[in-house]
Amino acid sequence: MSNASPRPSLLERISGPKAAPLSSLVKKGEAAALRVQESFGDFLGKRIREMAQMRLTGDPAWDQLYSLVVDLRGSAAMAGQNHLGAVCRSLESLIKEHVRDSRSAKAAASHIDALVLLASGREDEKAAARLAGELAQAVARIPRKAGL
Amino acid sequence: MATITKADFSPLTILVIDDSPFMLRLLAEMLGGFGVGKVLTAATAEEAFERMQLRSPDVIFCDWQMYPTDGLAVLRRLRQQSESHLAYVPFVMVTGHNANEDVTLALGEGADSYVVKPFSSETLMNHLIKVIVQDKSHLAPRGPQGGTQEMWAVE
Repeated sequence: MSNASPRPSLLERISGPKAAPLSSLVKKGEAAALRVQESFGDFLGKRIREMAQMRLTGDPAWDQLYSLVVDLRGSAAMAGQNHLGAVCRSLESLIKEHVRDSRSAKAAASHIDALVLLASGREDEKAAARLAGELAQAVARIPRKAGL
Repeated sequence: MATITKADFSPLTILVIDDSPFMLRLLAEMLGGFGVGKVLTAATAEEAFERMQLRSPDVIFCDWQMYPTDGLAVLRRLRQQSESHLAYVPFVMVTGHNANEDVTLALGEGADSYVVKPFSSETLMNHLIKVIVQDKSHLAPRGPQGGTQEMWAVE
């Protein structure tokens, strides 16, 4: 059956008698996030393997790699693994701003090797920054796309 | 804008769309922690639209960088369904980019908010509250017949 009143707004719907302080809900969300962050290592390993197995033979493959690396950077930051960010950003720049040829494919492979190394946990923040700097220099030697 | 200090999210259904299993689980668990009654997840745009056919969400969180159909395409497709309630569902774009042009583009296409990774539980809550306070979807037409206000069905 239908009543005569309009559908309640979302604000009305969350304002029921069981409403709890937002601060306590935020803490529960935070605790849930911490539990999930513990599984980041498994995700990272799978994602890097997926990237390493890609054959960069055409634009769809490059676009898919771009999507994966942007996602990896964001996910890593969410998991507090910020040392992966600089290498990811360098790879994003390579894919978006530079010509896509065999040299770019080799540079992309070097970035993925660097991610494998960093994911192993054997390198510290300083080493990660040095690696990212070297990769950025390699990317700079590859011609940029026309118009960029 | 009204200041909200308390909430009960248990009546809400929220759809999370992300092709990253990690982010999908992270967002779903955080929203679950907030007490959201039903969190639906979809790993692709196609799966998301299939889910929305079965159950219309109250709020959508969608990742921008998905392949092959990205979050912007999902948003455009939703907002084009002018005779459906889905065109008005609050939409939060989740992304790794924070360039001004990206924000402008997403908001211009009809996103209600834009959250940049990494974000905290508090930031996620702020975006959820923001779109709930601004929401006008309850005034939107429902179903192919349209109409300005839906009658509230009581089972």
